[in-house]
Amino acid sequence: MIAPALLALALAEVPGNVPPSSEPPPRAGSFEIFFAGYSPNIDSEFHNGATPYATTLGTGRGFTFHVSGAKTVYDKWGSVDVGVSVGWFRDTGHGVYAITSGGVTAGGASPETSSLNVIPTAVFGTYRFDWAVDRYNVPVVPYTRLALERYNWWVIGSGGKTMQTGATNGWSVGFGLALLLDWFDRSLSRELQRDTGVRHTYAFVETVHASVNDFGSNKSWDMSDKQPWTLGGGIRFDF
Amino acid sequence: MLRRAALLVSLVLPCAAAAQTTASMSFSTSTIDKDQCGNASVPFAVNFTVGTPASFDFSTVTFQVREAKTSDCSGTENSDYFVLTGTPVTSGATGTYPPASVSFTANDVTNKVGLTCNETADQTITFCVKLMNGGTEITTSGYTQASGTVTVQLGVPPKPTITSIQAGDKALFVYWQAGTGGTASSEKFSATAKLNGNAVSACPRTSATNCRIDGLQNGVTYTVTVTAYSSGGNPSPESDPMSGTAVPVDDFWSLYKKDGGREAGGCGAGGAGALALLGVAAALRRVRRRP
Repeated sequence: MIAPALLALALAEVPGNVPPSSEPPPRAGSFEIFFAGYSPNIDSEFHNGATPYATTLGTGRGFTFHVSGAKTVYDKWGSVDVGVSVGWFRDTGHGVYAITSGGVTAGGASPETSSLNVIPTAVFGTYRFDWAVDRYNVPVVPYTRLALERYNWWVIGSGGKTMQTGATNGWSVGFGLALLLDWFDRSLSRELQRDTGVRHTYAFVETVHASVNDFGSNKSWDMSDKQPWTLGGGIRFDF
Repeated sequence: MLRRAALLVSLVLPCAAAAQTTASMSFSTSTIDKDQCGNASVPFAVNFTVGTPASFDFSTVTFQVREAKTSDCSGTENSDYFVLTGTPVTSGATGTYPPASVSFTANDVTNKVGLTCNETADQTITFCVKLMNGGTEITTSGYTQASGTVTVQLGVPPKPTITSIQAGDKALFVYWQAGTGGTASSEKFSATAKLNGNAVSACPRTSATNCRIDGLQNGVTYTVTVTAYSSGGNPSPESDPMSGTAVPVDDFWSLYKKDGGREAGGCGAGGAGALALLGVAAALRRVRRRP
């Protein structure tokens, strides 16, 4: 729904007789805030019907956010950024009784809380076709991103005790469309650049496929998202 | 003419100096409970500024708590009063004097304040600090006396009611509601697990109406009571007891391993991934440096 609208904007803004503007100065980098849904696919390793994640932490879809900073290493026909990102995810639920005793039933929900906490980190490279942004005021930028992921996690059990810690590695690929917000208020954009050095501000939507299972190791759980393609969005500032 | 001017100067100068001398009193504890009423030690401080030039001899001037009464500091001094001694204040000084405590017993409360610790309503004691030169208060115009109040809380909150107990892993979750009546409101609560009448473990005082008592043994049935506390710390009568049994609980990780999960924790079986992250970062840095 959003993509066609962005495309329409792009097409409307590319008149054939607009002369190219002067060559813009080289870009330094970017900063992003990214939000997306997330639910680890941990229960997928069980083929006996066991669902420890769903049983204790529930089946609801959680929420994750990331912040990232990147340096521009190429800026001619589009741009290439390399950077790092860090995020946060937490899912909380309740432990279950291990035995039937004292009026409680084994497997029944207890008031003891349990949680999985994840700090996803990544090194990524992004290619953006933003060549036309400064030259022809095209407000839409398609891009693709490739990342090596490392999800650092720890599990909290009864009484707030840390039960286990670890890290799971993997990779991800993403595709997105970014909408240049400067396009709506150029005077504000110029003021922002003058005051803070932010050259462009984008809102973006992105779909990501992640495989975070220690590259298929049989000693690792699967921290990939349950959904094969995760939809997210955020805001990006170019410097 | 000259004599008139000298007289005027002698009258005005001391007043001008004394007008700059101010003091205020504060207590780090403003409320004490029923038990403390007969055996209290209440830290306090007098924050002061002494004017300069001053009109009195600072080598003999001290701040003293001269009165403790149920009204304000005006009126006649009690014949029996608290006296504090300390280093004399100095001209031009600003600070806190003296960091000290007012200690008093039940007899002090009776004799010096005129109250008893057996009353059921809360009482307020006002302590009056004066700047004394020997046994004489300096009453120069403009000097401000300091005072502070301590509330002696003598009321007791009502008995709370336990509504339910749920089993936890080596713990019990206790839920209750505050009682009604009493001579003080229920500000905090604490739940205690007992075995054979002896307290085994308790949760810290909380303003919530539930808590988790940990440090228990699974499979053991405990008797639990809840006590409410007033803002001054006076305890209520214990609630009627209720029993509960601690039961082992599988948290997410325990259940995952029990179900046969293969993850073992640690830094990731695919350590190559982490190395790859570093490798890519290093390669990109080298590419960037080339002209």
